[in-house]
Order: sequence, then C-alpha cells, then structure tokens
Amino acid sequence: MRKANIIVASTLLALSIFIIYQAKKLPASIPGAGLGPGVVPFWLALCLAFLSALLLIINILNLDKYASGQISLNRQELISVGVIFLTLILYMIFMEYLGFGIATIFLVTFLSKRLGNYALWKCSLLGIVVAVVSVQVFRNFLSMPLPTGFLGF
Amino acid sequence: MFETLSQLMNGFAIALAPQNLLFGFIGCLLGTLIGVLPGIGPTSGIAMLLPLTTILEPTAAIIMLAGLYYGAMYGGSTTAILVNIPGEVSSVPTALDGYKLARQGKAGLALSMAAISSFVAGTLSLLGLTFFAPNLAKMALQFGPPEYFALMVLALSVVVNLSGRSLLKGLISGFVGFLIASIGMDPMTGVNRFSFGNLNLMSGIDFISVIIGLFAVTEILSNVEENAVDVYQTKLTGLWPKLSDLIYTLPAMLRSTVIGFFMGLLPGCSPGVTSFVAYDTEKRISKNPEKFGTGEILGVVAPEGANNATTSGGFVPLMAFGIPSGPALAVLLGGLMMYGLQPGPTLFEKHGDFVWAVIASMYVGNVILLVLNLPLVGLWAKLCKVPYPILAPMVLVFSFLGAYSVRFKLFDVGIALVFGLIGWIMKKTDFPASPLILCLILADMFETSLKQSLSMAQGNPLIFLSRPISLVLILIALVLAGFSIYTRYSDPKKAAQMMVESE
Repeated sequence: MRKANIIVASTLLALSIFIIYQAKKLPASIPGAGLGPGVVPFWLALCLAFLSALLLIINILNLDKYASGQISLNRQELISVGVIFLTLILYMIFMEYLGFGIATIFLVTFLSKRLGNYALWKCSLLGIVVAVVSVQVFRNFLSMPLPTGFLGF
Repeated sequence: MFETLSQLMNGFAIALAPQNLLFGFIGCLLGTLIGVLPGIGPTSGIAMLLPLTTILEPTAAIIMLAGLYYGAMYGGSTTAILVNIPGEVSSVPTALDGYKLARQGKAGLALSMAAISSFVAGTLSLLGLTFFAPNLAKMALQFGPPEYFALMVLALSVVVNLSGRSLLKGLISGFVGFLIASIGMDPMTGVNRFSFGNLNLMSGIDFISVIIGLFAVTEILSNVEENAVDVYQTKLTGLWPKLSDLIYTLPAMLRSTVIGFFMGLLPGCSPGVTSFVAYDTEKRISKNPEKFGTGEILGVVAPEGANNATTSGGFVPLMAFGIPSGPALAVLLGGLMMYGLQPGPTLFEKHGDFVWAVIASMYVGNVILLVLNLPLVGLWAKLCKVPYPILAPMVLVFSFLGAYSVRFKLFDVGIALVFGLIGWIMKKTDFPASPLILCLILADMFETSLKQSLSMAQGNPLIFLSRPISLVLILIALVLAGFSIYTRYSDPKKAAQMMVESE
C-alpha cells in the first residue's frame, strides 16, 4: 500500500502543479464580475498540492499505520480488469461502425464467456437477448439515437 | 400543521395518479432487486438509471429513484439473512443474527420481522420528514449568497464522515472532485478553463458520467474475480409472525426509528452507520446481551428499522438545505439538479407540488415494499442465484446507455469508462469515491455563491462572519467536522470499524 500511495500522491502532486500553472494563465479578476475564472481553481489546486505532498511525506517516512498492509491485487485480477477495460474501450470504438446492437451482442457474449465460461451458444443467446431488448426499449421505444452502424442495428 | 396536512393530501393526489404510482412501483421493485443482488448498491443503481429517467417528467422520475433508494434498504436484508452476504452495508449487522436464525430454521421469521420493522420505522420517520423538512426550508428562505456559501460549507463538512479510513485521502478525493468540476465554462464569467481547445471539454465533464463510472463500472471491475453466491437452502416457513413476536420487538422498532431518524438528520450519517448504532444500543440495553450474534430477533429488527428510518431522515437535510447525508443521496441530489430542481430553501416554495408528491409517494412506497417483501420473499431469495457472469455484462450495457443518454455523445461513455478505471484504482488504494462525487456536484454552487458574496462585499471575506445565519451555519459545520474528527481520533479502533462499515 505504501508504494501505491507514493505513486498516487506523486501523480496528484504533479497534476496539481500543472493545474496551478494553467490557472495562473487565466485572468485573476474580470471587471464587473469580481473574482476571475482562475482564482478558485488556483487555490483548490494549491490545497491539493499541499495534501498530496503531505500524503507523500507520510508514506515516505512510513508514518501511516494503515498503509503498511498490502493491496489485495494479484496478477490474475489485474489481467481480468485489464481485459474487461480493453473490451469496453473496443466496444465504444467499434460501436460507431458496427452499430449498438451488433457491438452489444459481441460484448455480452465475450464477457459472459470470459467471466462464467459457459457454452458459447448460451453466451451468444444472452448477447442477442440483451441487444434486442436494449434496442427495442431504448432506440425504438424511448427514441434514443443509438449508433446504427453499417448494418442498421 | 393543517397547511402541511393539506399539502400532503395534494401530494397523495399526485403520487396516486396511475403514472406516478406505476413508476413508484417500478422504483420499489428495482430497488428491492438491487438490494437483493450482492454487488450492486443503491448508489450505482440510481447512477445507472438516473440519465435513463430523463424521458419521464421530473415527479415520476424522482418518485422512481427515491423508491429505488429505500427499496434497496428493504431488499438488502434478504441476502444478509439467507446468504450471509449483506446486499447493502447497512444490512451487515442484520446478517449477524439473521443468518443464525436462518440456520436455526427461522429464516421466515427473520425475513418477515425485517420487513415489518422496515415498514414501521420507514413510515414513522416519514411523519418526521413531513413535519420537519418544510419548517426548516421556511426558515432558510431568507438566504442570500453568503448564507448559500455557508450552507455549502456545511454540506462539505460531510466529507469528514465520508472519508473512510483516511481523512487525508478523503480530503484529496474532495479536492479532485472540485477540480474536475472546474473543467469547462466558469459559472460567472463564461470563460473556458482547462479545456485545451477540446470541444467536448468546453461544455464540462458531466457529473452523471463520473458517477456511473465511479460507482457502476468500478463495482463491476472490482467484482470480476468474485464467484456467484449460493443461497442457503431452507424452506421458508413462518413468514407471518406471531403476535408475541410483534409485542416483543415493537419497543426495539420504535427505539431504532428514533435513532435512525435523528441520526439521519446529521450530515454524513449514512444508514450504514445508524444500523450499527441501533444494533449496539439494543445489545447494550438487553437483559441477555449474550444472545446477540447467536440468532436474536432484536438483532434483525433494530438495524433494519434504523436503516429505513435514516433513509427518510436523510431526505430532511436534502430537501430543506440541499445537503446529502450519504453517497446515494448525493447522486439523487444530482438527479434533482439535472431536472433543474435545486434542493434547498426554495424547493418547497417553487416546486411544492413536486416535493409533496415525492413525500407522499414514500408513504405509498412503504406499503408497496411491505407487499413486495413479505409474500414475494421466496422469489427474491431465488434471485440471489443469478450468476455474476450474467449480471455483470447487463449492468455494463445499462451503464453505457446511462452515460450515453446524458448528451448522446460517446465522449460521455469514454468519461464513464475512464472514471470506472480511476474508481477501481481508488478502491484498491483506499481513496473514497463519495467525497469526490459530493464536491463535484456542489462545486458549481460553491463557486458561484462564493464569488457573488465577495462581489457583494467588495472582496471582503468577513461578510461570511458578519451575517448571523451564515455565521451560525459555518459554526455548525466546524462543530460537526470537529466532532467527527474528534470521534475518529479519540477512539481510533471503533472509528475505523465504523468507517469501514460506512464505506
């Protein structure tokens, strides 16, 4: 946990310094409107920088008793989360070309197969049912402009 | 008093209209389902459904979402009793005695008493909501920008209670929420901030996508390695309790109602906390405290009553001041704002019909939930068997639809996915997500009221201390935050336990 805290605190510290730099570029006051758009983000980023630095120091000096434990993360879980996240990114990217319905069939089939290891036909059936119901309810009944893709589904 | 009753009657007329009744029923049904299914909480449930309700008119939508919230409190006990896996954090103490009762063949009694206690406490605390909230809101009608700013400070003092194990991490999470909200147009000047020329970022990051990512997507990513649960196989008998059971448990129901409702009025006191307090109180005053944890029915009745009373109690600060007392209510606050209904002092004045319809729908909802939970408890028990590999893809598709429906842009889906991953990292590294959401939702009002107040006072920050109401609100915020910090550090063991339980 200590190592993770140090990484997160360093990232947040760098991010807050970047925001402070960006906020300083914005006007500090605007005639008639009082405080300018950069003032509040500047102070917020300054506070975030201070707190991140504090977290960093506490963990470098090993002063946090809760941070002594290990993060419950194993290689298998990391792979599973990575695969699901990547699948969702691909789902989002391909939806525009394949259409919501087709992309959803692929997504649900793949995820239920990967997570539950059921027979492929069962996973495909689930994918088709979820896609058809979603398209019927959200596109046809609720008129949501879901991407249709080249097959129109 | 009579004015309140007459407005409540008007509310019933609206709540009992067929369309509102239907959506109230759907909300209760979905809430019970969400409560029953381990792995989906009321917060992620509301987050998922919130954008999808935009096709409804605001009253029906909020009636449905409120039903979903308190429905989840009812449903959470089912898995706690039958599977020893509480559907919600607030049902953790229920599992201690409820599961033991199920093992002794008294699952029916435990389930029915949980439902009855939820009904009694839920209904009684609604009376509190009916008479407390409008009077508080009336008082708050004199608020100007400095008072609104002070109110935001009071709301933000909740962050201390939502911070989980580490206050430092909670504060960091809150500041990150504020900074996310600052992307896009400045609320006062219209100048673009941190958009780097990206057209999508110019209109800001919608909090709905962030909520869906942090709660719904994160929950799925966190549970990918979880296996499906098996229900404890026992025949459900004795669903209708004896009169002696009711007489024995009634005082505990009333005590837990008082505890749950009044603690629910305090910002930051979630049902997860009050159910533990009610359980602990019953154990302390019991003549046979050693029975607790071995299958004592009072150990089921007290937490279930308290968590439902807190649910209603939490609506008082939400409706009167716009202060959410927990993550689910913070999301609901976002929902109200999405519909242009700013919770707070003017809500009762400007949208009286809406507020009273929602309050009246809760009375109706409690009856619906009693009906759903008593005769249909066997059905809910069977639903615990839905395997996670089937549930997870469906939740993801609905989360996607929820994020997409905000502005019909895949950009918002991308935001939800990114925040899903961020939420997973936050969960792994013990950063609480609730302060981020709370600050993200309140940031706009915080910044606007701060800037307006300083403009009024020619930049003098003492304006917040020179006006009596804002001074009192700031003092209350400081006292509440100070008390929470004191509790956290004076008894670290107990506080840590409570923090984990309220996460």
